[in-house]
Amino acid sequence: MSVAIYGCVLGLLIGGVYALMASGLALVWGVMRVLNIAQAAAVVLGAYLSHTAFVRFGIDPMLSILFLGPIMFLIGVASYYAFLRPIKKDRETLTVLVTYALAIGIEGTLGAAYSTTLTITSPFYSRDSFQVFGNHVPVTYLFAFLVSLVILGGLGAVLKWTRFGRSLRAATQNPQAAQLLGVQTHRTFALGFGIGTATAAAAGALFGMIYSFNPASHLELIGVLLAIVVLGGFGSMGGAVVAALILGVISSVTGVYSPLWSGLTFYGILVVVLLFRPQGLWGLQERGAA
Amino acid sequence: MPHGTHHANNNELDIATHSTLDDRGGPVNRTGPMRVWVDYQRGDRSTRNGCRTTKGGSLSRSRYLGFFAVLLIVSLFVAACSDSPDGGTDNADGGNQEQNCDEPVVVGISLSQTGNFAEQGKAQRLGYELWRDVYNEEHDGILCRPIELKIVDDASNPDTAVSNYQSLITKDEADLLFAPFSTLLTAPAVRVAARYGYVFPAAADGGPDTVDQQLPNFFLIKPTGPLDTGRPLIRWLETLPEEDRPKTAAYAAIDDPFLTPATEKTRLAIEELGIETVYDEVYPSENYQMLPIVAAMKDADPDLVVGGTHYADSFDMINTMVQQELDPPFVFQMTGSSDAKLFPENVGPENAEGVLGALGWYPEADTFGNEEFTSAWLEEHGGALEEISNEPAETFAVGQMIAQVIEEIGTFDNQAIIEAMRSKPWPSMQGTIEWDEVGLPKGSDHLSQWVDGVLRIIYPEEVQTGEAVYPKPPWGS
Repeated sequence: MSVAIYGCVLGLLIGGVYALMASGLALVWGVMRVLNIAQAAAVVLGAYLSHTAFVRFGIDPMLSILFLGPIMFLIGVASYYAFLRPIKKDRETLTVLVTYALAIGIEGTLGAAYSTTLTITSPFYSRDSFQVFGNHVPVTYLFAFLVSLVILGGLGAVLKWTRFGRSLRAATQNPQAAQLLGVQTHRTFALGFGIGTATAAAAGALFGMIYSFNPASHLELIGVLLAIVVLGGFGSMGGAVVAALILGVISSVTGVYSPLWSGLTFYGILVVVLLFRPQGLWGLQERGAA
Repeated sequence: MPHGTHHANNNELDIATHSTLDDRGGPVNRTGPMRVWVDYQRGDRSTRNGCRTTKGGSLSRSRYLGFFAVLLIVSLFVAACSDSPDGGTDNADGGNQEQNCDEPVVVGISLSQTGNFAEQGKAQRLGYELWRDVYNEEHDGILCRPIELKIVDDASNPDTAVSNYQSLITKDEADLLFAPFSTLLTAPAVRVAARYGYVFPAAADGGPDTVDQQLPNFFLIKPTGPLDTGRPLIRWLETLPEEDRPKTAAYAAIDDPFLTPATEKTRLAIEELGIETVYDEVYPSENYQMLPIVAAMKDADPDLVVGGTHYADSFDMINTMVQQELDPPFVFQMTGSSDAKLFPENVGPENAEGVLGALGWYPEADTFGNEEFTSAWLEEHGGALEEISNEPAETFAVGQMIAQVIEEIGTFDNQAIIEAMRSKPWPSMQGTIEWDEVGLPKGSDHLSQWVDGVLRIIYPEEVQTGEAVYPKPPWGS
């Protein structure tokens, strides 16, 4: 029993990091109706950049978020203008292909720049831990969880209390009406995509302290992130956070008893929820939908 | 001659200017005789039945089909001629005649220099290149012919590997072929080599997809097959007094075509020794969480932990065990713990102490040609003896084995090489190797252990470089 409780604690902490990764995906979908398949690749890119900053310059992965976030934000904005804005027709479908191409491009670049061997970022405190029911919880898990909470809290505050946040939320709820009221949609979209990319990079720095990764890690990760976003309700950031925490806990507890099934729990639960609530846990059902 | 020019009285011009397909590379309008034949056919049909050609005088569909049929027949004829009656090419048969010492012996290898296996492919390449240099300089090549390596990148892709070997055989006319890295690439490539009668020695492979084909040309140049990595541990445990053996064991293996079945095989053999299994799980190859696994193992309180690990997960497992204070008297890992350089770097030398591993080749081995390899390596790359990694040693051993066999039988005939390799055990840098009917070695790896900061061989006794330490020292010793 104590092992199961231990699994719950681990899951909750890991779920926080997953929530940060998925929040960007939910935001970009909510604002732009773009399913950003490159979100997980941006996470892995963030993990590599943070790893390099740590190995080369001794910069702590959590501190590296302070400069990685703005850099990746700019890359995200530039990517929007270069690859997504030119798409005029059949946007929802074509953006999937474009972002998939971006993901493959990032993977290829990382493969050329780094080795394909799995790696992990190990700061000096990576072996420190605290006890929960006789088992040790690594402090890296706790730090990653806390940093994720801070970033998610900051993002929530920006969305709720700033003019830009109101523009974003307006564009999320009704893009046409927002445009009529003076919201510059392309600028808002670009900033939204930039924020999504920045959160991915921040999550990547934390992910790299917990999991081994290589350039191809995004292929499995994107499945998990999509499961979280679908479960939470497409476009609902709050839903994505709660879904990430739930899935993190269930996955970790399963991992105690059967590690091989641990990854599959994401999809198993997703199927069950979608059977009874197709719009996800916190998503709104479209008008006219059955 | 501008395209689109039409000249009613010149059929040659017609074909050359309006038949786009032919312009782009078909042989029709490039060879004189064929062109004449085409002209004749066209004129004949037009006159005979008044069949109108398409606008501009391009060839009709039935004529295209006719050309393709002829091309197909010619291609089949050429392909048939290229194979000798026994299925081998002239190159594979190559060389029962007197050797021409000026003619290089071409060794074709498809190696992953990019993609998932790039890391291993690059390390393997170093071994092959060193072998070429050492044998050209010190041994006067093979049978007096200088060795020339033809290494091509397969981007870790099986289809590319297959076409690479096809090209190495037919275009580069390689005398010998060496296998690529990994079963994923070797399994389809070995069929191509077999079709042309080439021996196909591999430095690292032997997975079921390769050996289940039961092809006679495949040989794994290692002391043991990949599913028998746990064999030295089992044999060593058998030598321990009953009271010193572990009573319980936990097994955690990565989901991998080699390591999962190898761990399973080890578990079954260890259970036969009366050691109870208290934990046995497989974890995913990516995005796994080691913490819940180690927590569950700790809950089971085993005397022996067997890790069916690769590299990163091997280090991860030890680090997590240290963190979780799971400190059993025996810890064995299939891969990772026997890496002289990476293991202590990643887990810390203080946590490496006492950890067991399986090792085919090791730098200090007093085996056939090992000293030649290690001294050449150190001269070329510097560093310390114990820092030389396995991959280049294993590929050097492939070249060494094939060169040795050819020197003994005096021919490059691949069929003769295959027969000679099957006929008896052969010495190698990795000890004497003898193969079963599917090309897997019958021997066993060595059991390694970290003792006083050095990776030592503790079993079998005849090659021991240090005494076994058990129970292992506590973490951090």
